[in-house]
Amino acid sequence: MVGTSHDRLSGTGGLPMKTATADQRVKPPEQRPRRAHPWAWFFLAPAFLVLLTFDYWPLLRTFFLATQGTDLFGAPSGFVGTDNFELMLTDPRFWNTILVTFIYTGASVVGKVLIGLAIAIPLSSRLKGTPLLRSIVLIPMAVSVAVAALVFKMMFQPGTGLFDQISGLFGAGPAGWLTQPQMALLAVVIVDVWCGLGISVLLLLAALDGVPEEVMEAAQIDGTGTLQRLWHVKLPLITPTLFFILITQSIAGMREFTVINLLTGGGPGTATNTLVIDIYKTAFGSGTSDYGAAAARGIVLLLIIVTLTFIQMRVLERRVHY
Amino acid sequence: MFRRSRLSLIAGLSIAALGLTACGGGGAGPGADGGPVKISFWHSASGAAGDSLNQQIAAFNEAQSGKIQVEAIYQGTYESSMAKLANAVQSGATPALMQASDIFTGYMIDSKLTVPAQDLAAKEGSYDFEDLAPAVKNYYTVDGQVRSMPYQISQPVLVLNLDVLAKAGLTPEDVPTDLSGLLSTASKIKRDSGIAGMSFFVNTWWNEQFTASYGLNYCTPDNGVQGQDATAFKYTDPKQVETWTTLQDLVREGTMVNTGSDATASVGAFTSGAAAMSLVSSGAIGNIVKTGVNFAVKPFPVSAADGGVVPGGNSLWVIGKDRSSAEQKAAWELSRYLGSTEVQTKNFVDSGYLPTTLSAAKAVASPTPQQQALLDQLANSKPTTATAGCHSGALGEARQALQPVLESMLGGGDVRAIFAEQESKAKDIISRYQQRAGK
Repeated sequence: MVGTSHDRLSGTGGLPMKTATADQRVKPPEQRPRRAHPWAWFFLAPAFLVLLTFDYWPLLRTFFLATQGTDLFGAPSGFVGTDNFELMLTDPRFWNTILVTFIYTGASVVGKVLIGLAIAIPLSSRLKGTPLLRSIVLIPMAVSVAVAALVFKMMFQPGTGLFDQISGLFGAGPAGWLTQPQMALLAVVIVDVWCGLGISVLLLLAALDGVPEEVMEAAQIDGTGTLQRLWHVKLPLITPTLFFILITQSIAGMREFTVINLLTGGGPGTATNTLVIDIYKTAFGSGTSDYGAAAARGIVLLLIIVTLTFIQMRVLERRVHY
Repeated sequence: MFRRSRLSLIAGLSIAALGLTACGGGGAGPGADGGPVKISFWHSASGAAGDSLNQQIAAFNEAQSGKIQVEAIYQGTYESSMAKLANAVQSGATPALMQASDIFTGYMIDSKLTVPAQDLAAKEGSYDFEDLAPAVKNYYTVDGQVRSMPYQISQPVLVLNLDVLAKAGLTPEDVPTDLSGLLSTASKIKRDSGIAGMSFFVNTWWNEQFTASYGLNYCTPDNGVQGQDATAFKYTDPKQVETWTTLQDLVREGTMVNTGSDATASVGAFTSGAAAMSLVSSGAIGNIVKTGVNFAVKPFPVSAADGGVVPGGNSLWVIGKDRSSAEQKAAWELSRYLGSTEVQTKNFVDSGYLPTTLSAAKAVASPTPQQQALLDQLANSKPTTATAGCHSGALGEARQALQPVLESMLGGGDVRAIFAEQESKAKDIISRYQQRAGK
């Protein structure tokens, strides 16, 4: 059915507009009494059930396990109080793990934001060919992280891998991408940035596209240069998106498992042994399933993520312009 | 509308229920209709060894049609397979037969989940344990009893890329049979040809093998095989320290291609000609043959008269807990089949895993020079306490703690000091394990 001329003008494609008359006729849903939705809880139940089963129950179980000893089959063997935490906190390897986790997360977030901006800014222009380039840049999003990690692993192979072959053309020897501690950390960051770049670029492009043309034109009329417009106008206007990327990618970095596990397994040595890898190794790595110790580490990870997010919200949000 | 929601609810609950039950892997047991006994077999065999295993299971199922039906399930690495077993114990969904790597021998015994192989042989069907190769029997005998069926037995060996070796002006006969001589030769190859002398992947297994090659025990007392549980690990013998110091030097000077913990990459460096020699598991020989590289196999370098190699690999454990006697009997039948001369001979030819029995070794028709070298090493292995390897249920955890240390140690550091610190930590690991095992 064709909408009224008023509808067409407002661009709602025939849907009834929220006019004063309409508001009087239709009561907003949120103001309806609860008893008007007798089936609501029934419809919500499946989602709640899934949430309870797969999110809240494991969370509660983790808190329980962290206070328990573990028998040879991973089953709780009795209350041990804070023993699991004491063992963890007095182990210097644990603090190294925390350090590696922060370095890895920081580097990968900075990489995704800076490289993402470097790609998104030129792609947001209306030049010929940018639609095609946009598609090309977003291709990594379609590649499975596991597949990407395995392909990169081949390219990082000592001597025979693509990267060493290229550096060999310039007379350099094998770089030890996955065997030298610093290089290995760099390698996993590179792969993580590659895998996460697509979503960063996509979000940044959307934000840049949303910057009003008239604001940019006004700035241009005021005599600002390209870089000035970028720094003083465009970037401040996309801070909500930058803030969103920083928070979500920080959490993702803290929790990243696939890339590191497939590329280095936390090695060489402890160079890429992040907290998630450490949790996995403690729970499953030796085959004897020390779930108590792993659960204690899981709680530390949870606390770090919550604290980090809280700090980011408090500190960074002041610079966000909504 | 309501109908659609109800369908969504049913679908959601079904998915949730599937999610909760999908990991179940227990044996199905005898069919209610009196059909074949269905059992599940968890394993970690992949590549050439995995292909060989699948063929063997298919042959067994065909031969036992209507009586036993085996479902072989690949469960990933040995470690993840063991972690899944631990979970299965809690849910009562244990497999009937479990393939476990050598290092889990102590853990499997401590777990009290299993039925000793010799008990099953006496009750359910005989097996000639005297036919086991002495070195193999030595490893899998604990407190005078063979506990599990040795299946894919491996030993470390040295492989030589003959084309690369020739570029360095050497023949296989020029490569010494002791460890320090081998490492010196690696340096010479690098010096004379510019090609790395060796490729090497870092694994604690090598530390155990180097230790046995010097005739030393890896854990004390007596590698845990003389009736007393091991209470400590030994990493600081001067021979151990000297070996790893030399390996450090080789990495630093570029004589050794260090592929970290990646065994496949180490073999890849060898087969691609980036390194002249490599220390590998005999289980990798099948994969090396497939690449078509011109290579020879030499025994793992042994540096003492009473030294040797520890025959590792894996063995098959019949699970008693939660499994009926019919399932145990079926699992033992499969174990006997996989330990038979016929299968062991095929296993060796297909994958490079060594024949576990003397008769299987004899049955290998016209072995290639590489296969003959593997058979000779197994036959010449001396069954001593040192070559029985460390039997501690904490070996898996001790390995996990030592692995990153060895990897970083190759980059530099005071070997003796690092090992001393790890020795102390390993003692704590054993102590904690004993506590968890209720010992």
